[in-house]
Amino acid sequence: MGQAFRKLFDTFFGNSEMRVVMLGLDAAGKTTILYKLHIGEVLSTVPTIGFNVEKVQYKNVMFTVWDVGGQEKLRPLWRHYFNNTDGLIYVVDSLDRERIGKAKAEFQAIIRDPFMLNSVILIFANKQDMKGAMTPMEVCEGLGLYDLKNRKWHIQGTCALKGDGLYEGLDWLAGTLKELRAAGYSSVGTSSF
Amino acid sequence: MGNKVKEEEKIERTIRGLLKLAENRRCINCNSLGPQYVCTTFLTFVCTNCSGIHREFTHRIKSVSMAKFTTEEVTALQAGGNERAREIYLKDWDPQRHSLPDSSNLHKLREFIKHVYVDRKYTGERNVDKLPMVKVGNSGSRNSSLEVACEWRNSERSSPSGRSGDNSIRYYYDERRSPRFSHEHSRSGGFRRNPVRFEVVDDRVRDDRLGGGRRTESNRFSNGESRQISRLPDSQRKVDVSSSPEVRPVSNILGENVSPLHAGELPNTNDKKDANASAHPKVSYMLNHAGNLFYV
Repeated sequence: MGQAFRKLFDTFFGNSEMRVVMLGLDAAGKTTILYKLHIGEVLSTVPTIGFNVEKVQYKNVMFTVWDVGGQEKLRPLWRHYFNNTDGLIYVVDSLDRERIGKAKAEFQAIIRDPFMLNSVILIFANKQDMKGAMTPMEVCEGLGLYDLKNRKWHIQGTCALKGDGLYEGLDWLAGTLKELRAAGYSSVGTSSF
Repeated sequence: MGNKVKEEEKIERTIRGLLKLAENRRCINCNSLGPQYVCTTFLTFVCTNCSGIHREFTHRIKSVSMAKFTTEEVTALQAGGNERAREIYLKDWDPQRHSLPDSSNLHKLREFIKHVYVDRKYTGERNVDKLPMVKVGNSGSRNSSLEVACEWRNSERSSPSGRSGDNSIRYYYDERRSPRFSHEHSRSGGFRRNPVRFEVVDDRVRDDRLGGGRRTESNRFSNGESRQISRLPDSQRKVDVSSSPEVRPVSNILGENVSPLHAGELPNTNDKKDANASAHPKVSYMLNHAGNLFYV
């Protein structure tokens, strides 16, 4: 009884939890984003083999963010992180026009996975500080986002080094999550102590 | 399907073969044993730390184990390699006067990589003062593969090169670069040259006294599974060396959500820190692995 009340209370006022998986091609900036969110610093990173996971509290939402390595031979492992995931953060290197097609293919494969059909989609068009970077609109087109039906998605231009756009993105995630849960979606990620 | 797999296996074998060459057995930048990454921008073999820093300059890197290489990339790599790159980017490098940076000092590594590949201080070209002109339109160090190509052509015209061996090297590189120019990019290929043009003319084959003993170790590193495991102790060692125990609690605390992050405040503090933000190597390892150890 108490638990149920607590849960109800949490849904409207209190903390909720959100499990997020952060994917994208190698060198998109996933790890840099993760640690920028987690400790507010730009760390010197090396290519991720395996994954990093950190919790990020923002606006009453506790995000558990899984950052999974993006090199070719690691991509088949992504699907193992899909189960029970509320949100996808897909990070794109906006400077990498050459591989946007590849980024699109991987992206489409992720969101069509049966385990990801209910997850909301946040795209970070990263490296916006660079000259010649694709705009979020271009990235949007490049990923084929406009053709997406019946999905909640949002694209956000970011610069992980400065932190620009990261929290705006989380804002959208948190808001959308609340919306969905209020609408009665089965929220796999809510806390239940 | 089977054909494709075979092709991939063949490619990987070729690259592992290249890694066994004396010149490629050590990271070109920091001389550490058993590099596991390829910088496809300069066709060099580098260690993990250097690969991370190359990435900061938007140089392309690929893991030998975890990335897939195209046939074109392998061909280019066969013609490239550390010795070749050294002849170009470290031509004026005097081992007597300078020393290579240590792989554990990320700050020094970053400086070195910037000097060598971005500023091209040691290429032996006289027109260093021309570089800014070429760079117009490029912001900073990114976009460097294009830059390299431009600068190369530029220097080609004005360099008073004497030795004939030099000439062939130049010519070679010019040609190798140019398809990238017209074509999409380095990795999409377009390189059709016969790579055998180059003989290794070098007598600086170095450090092989140590090579024999440790080779087994570096082989062990080269396969995917054992590598994952071997990363951990390695990082713990770094934690010990850097010995700043006060950082570890921070991640733990943050993990327990004590300090909520506010969008309004953070950007300010971040901006201030931005200047020296890139120089936090210690913190990086500790947190990375603290995180890993903590959650795994």
